[in-house]
Amino acid sequence: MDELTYAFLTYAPFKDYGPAFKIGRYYVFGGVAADQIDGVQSSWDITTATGVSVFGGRPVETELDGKRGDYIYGGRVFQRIEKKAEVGASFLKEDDDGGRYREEFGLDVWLLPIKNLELQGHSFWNNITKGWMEHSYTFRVPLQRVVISGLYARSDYRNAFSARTLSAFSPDLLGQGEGLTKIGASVEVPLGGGVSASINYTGYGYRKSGDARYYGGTATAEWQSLSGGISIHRMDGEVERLRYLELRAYVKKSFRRMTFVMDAINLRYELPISGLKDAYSINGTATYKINNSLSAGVDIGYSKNPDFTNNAMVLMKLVYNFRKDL
Amino acid sequence: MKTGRYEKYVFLMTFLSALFFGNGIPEPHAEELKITGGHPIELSGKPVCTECHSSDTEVVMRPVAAFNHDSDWIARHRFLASKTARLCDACHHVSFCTSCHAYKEELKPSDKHSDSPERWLPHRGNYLFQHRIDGRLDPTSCFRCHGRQNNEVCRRCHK
Ligand code: HEC
Ligand code: HEC
Ligand code: HEC
Ligand code: HEC
Ligand code: HEC
Repeated sequence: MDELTYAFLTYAPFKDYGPAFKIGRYYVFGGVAADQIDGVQSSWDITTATGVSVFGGRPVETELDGKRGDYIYGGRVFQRIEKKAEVGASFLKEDDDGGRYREEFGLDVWLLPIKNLELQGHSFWNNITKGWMEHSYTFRVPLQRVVISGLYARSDYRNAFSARTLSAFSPDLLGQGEGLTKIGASVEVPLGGGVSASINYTGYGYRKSGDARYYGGTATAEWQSLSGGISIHRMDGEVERLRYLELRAYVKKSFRRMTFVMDAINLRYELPISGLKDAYSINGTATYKINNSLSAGVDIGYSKNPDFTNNAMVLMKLVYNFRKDL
Repeated sequence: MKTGRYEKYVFLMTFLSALFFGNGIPEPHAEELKITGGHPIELSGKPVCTECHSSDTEVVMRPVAAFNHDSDWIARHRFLASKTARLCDACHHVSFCTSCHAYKEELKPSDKHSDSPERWLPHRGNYLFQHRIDGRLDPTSCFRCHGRQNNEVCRRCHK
């Protein structure tokens, strides 16, 4: 049972609106909740403008202690205002061994204030540490061809990572009182003939450590069964380890049931790390599609980085895809 | 909290150009699509809805363009997943989502999807070294997948 990723039943007597139920191991997504549970979920779009969803059960997480007294529940309500806005409010509560582990509240919005300008985002509150976990907002303008988008995100690690099962996210490692503000923008331009280009910029501002900027461009192209992409990005930070150039190139070619991929990533650190300035990773993949849901493949990888001066690996895999229509 | 000088301007400029261009588009006269069952035709590759549906089409009270799976879709799908789950369900089985959103998973998403290099995926290639840099740069994105699950392998080094 524990290795199971999902197994659930859905009961939705009405397709578009009206109540629907899910029972079993399932991922619930709704406002603050993005959690795997063993339990039940019911969502009901009462009208096209209002709806409610609730869930409850046991959390599916890495266990550090027993499962007794562990439960999780929550819900979300929303209100839509014409075709201009949707506002949602959500909460989630999780107990671990009978003690308060998570109490989170969320507000989310989606707005279309003027034609073609879409704004959306959310703010999450941690009611145990009494602080905002994150604010995350984006805007996007899909024009005829060009898409412009922007992001603003702010996170306070103490509140955001208080319920964790991995020490890597603890303030002891990440710094007491640390927080991140991320601001980004990107422009995507289809150039025609299967070629598309995009540029992006992200600024990282920290409360304690030095800031950083990440920017660059990507170009992708597609001609029938052949496709490829190249990208170049610069990480320009105030601390040493955040000063590097990142290059990537891939090609993909399909012949009937076979797909071949070559993918190479190169990181050029400005200052050598453990004596190495140039890290790279090259991957080759051949996949054979046995039928619509089953494929077999071999990956061959070669890499060089400050940990391993040379490292090769081979991975054989059989992937089964459950298809909606089968 | 300090943010660099440039960020504000980049953000403001993009936002202003968005307002400027966004207003120049004629008012749509909407046609609303209903979700009856699955999507009537099978799609392969990331769908740009407006390639087939006219841009004045609406679905779940939104312009269909909101669901275009374009280059920032990975960064954006989380906002929509929790609002329009029924629409996502029409095309996606949960196994598709769990191929990246795993609970206990041996394979990294980029190994599982190694035949789709066009996807935006976290940690491609040999990542054990670079993760120290990225994990510090923006732990919020890692936390979504590794904060409370998918972290047994990490314990080898992170006690
Ligand atoms: C390759 C063309 C194509 C693409 C791409 C495409 N659709 Fe469709 N879609 C169709 C056709 C054809 C129909 C059936 C005719 C109709 O209703 O317009 C349809 C119908 C629908 C319906 C009605 C479903 C039903 O049960 O009748 C919805 C909802 C929908 N599409 C949403 C989307 C969304 C959202 C996207 C982007 C993520 C998308 N489509 C991308 C071709 C496409
Ligand atoms: C009209 C059908 C349709 C709808 C509706 C739809 N998707 Fe998709 N989606 C697809 C197809 C087709 C792909 C490409 C699948 C593939 O590459 O195997 C895809 C790919 C994706 C990907 C992977 C993108 C990448 O870069 O590889 C994510 C994530 C995703 N969808 C999430 C969602 C979410 C969340 C929703 C609901 C808000 C949604 N989709 C609605 C058809 C749809
Ligand atoms: C190709 C890999 C991939 C697939 C497939 C995928 N996602 Fe995601 N998802 C991501 C990544 C990467 C993030 C983190 C994005 C970020 O940090 O901005 C994410 C984040 C999310 C989040 C936010 C999680 C949180 O804890 O805040 C939700 C909700 C989500 N995805 C829902 C879905 C749903 C629903 C599907 C299936 C329809 C899906 N995803 C399929 C890669 C994927
Ligand atoms: C969309 C979900 C998702 C996101 C976002 C994500 N990971 Fe992962 N990661 C996985 C999965 C699934 C695995 C395979 C799990 C395993 O090995 O147990 C994995 C594996 C790893 C590994 C083991 C790699 C190896 O080569 O053995 C490291 C290290 C790692 N992730 C670090 C990170 C860091 C740091 C971030 C943030 C920058 C991150 N991950 C973001 C899903 C994700
Ligand atoms: C082979 C050992 C090893 C494994 C396995 C490993 N890490 Fe790390 N990780 C490290 C080291 C070493 C650092 C750097 C610590 C430092 O700089 O103080 C680090 C740093 C990090 C950081 C940044 C925080 C910090 O202290 O700088 C995060 C986040 C992180 N790891 C997450 C993960 C996740 C998630 C996984 C599993 C998916 C994982 N790690 C697996 C060795 C490992």
